[in-house]
Amino acid sequence: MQLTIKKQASYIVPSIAFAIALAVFLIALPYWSSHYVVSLMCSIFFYIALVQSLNVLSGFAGYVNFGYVGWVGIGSYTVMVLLNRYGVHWLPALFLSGIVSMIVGIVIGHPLLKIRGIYFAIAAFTFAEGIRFLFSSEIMAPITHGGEGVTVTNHDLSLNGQYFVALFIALLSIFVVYKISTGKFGLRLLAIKSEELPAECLGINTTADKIVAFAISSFFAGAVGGLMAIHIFFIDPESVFSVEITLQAILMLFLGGGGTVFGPVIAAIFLTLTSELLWSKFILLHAGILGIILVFVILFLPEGIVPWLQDKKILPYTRKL
Amino acid sequence: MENLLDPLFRGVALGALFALIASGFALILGVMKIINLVQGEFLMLGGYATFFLVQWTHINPIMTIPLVFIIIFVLGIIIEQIVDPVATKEAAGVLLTFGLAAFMRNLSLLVFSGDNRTMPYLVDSFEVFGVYLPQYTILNFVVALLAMTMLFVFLKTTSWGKAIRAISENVDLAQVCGIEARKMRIISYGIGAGLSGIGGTLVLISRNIEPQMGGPYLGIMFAVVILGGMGDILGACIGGLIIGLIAAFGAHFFSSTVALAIVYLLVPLMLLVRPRGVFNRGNM
Repeated sequence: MQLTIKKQASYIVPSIAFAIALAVFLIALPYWSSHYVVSLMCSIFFYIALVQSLNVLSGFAGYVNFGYVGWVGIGSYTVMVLLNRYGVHWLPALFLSGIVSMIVGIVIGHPLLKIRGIYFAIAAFTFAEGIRFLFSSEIMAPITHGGEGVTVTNHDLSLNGQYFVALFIALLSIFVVYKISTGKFGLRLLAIKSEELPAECLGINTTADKIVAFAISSFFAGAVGGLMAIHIFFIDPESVFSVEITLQAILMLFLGGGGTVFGPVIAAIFLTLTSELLWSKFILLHAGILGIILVFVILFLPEGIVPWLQDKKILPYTRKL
Repeated sequence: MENLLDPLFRGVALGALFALIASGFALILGVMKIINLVQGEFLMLGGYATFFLVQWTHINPIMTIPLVFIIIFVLGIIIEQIVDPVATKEAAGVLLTFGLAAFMRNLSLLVFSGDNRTMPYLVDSFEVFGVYLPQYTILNFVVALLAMTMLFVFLKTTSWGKAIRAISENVDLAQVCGIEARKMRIISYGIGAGLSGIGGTLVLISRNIEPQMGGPYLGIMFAVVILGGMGDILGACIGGLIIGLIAAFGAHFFSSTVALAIVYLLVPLMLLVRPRGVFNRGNM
């Protein structure tokens, strides 16, 4: 018994020390780095938040949302409208963009989630593409400025400010996924992922749980989309509803491990850094490289990095990871 | 009323083209049960194959069609080696082909450059019932009809065709009867790829091709297969016709962008309301 307690205690002190060091590093970072580095960190935080929220629906519940970027883009355009037309302050604007995306998620998700697993993926994908055409069409142009795009500058959020907001959203998303992972909601979602009909027979209200997962996922997608709009300050349907964002998020999710807490975080950091450092010179190849990595992950690491490490006994089998 | 004959004829020809393009997708879906997201890239590469064949040898574009079929067939067989491990696992298959398609699209962008390529052929108009149509409309219709008929005959009468139908119904029983399932899967994937490839030839002639075109055409393939009923070629024909008419009338009354948006938004709607197709004959 004494040996067991000692083993648990040996994890606590180093991890607290690590957490404090990390916190100090992250908080101090904007003040001694260049704009480039701060912007890069913002991208990392964006993708951590995006992948974590995708994790809730696609990693835990297993409904892979191939139209994910649709909800991100809706958040971006919501923030654009709120800032440019109504002069709303960025904080309520970001919150509202999350809410709007969440409402769309609930409204569209309700019928969409009734479609069986794989066809849900097709439906979500074509929905997002349809939304992209819609936002660039002449009908919506008075609001969205159509295909030519629009700048988002009517706010007073500096780059450092964006950094901290992004950091906050990323941490919030990790926290939410941690709570889900260690709670009953997460267990129900995992049950839905493995065998939905038996889960339903066990008394789980799969429809309600799936919609809640969709709502959480789309809220974060919208909020991050809104912050991204502020960050890159020029949005148009092609970039904001780009399939590459979905591809990147899905790849990070499957590389890290759907249904885990830190898998997506590791994958998001790793992929954003490598894509920035390694092949930013080959910007034309970006989507292609992501694609081939996805192929490799599916063929050789189908569960993701964290479960693979757990199988190799390098990491413990715990839902907290 | 006169005015509506124009989108009607265009819609039928377009429908035949869409049916041809989607037949490859439908075949692979029916036989291997995977949603082959690479299909759009087969279309695109078929178009480029025609483009370069004609550029290098100056032969009639129509003559390239059998050649393109063979080229893309071989490409399909190669790609099949990568896809086969996930052939029965639906979710993994979609993700794999998604990544593969992104890779192929990107590679093509580098090799072919992003410019639109066109190869205008048979563009002179001819008149029928007071409507002026470009001649390639007839070409599309005839080629598509011919190809679909040949496919139908192949599946119904030849031993390979029957073997393919067998493994799409019940792989284990078919193998017990002595059919080599793996070989048949390879062949059907190649045929599916080749069909979309010659669709690409027709698209090059009647419109234009560029490396990113795989995505939008894939969406059309989805719409065709879902509307017509998944699982067989006749479904692709029916769905193709319906989508062709919707696209033509949509472009006539609104614009082509809106028509495309309608077609796209129809997919989740159909999956929700009538997943087995308009005539309820799909079996997925």
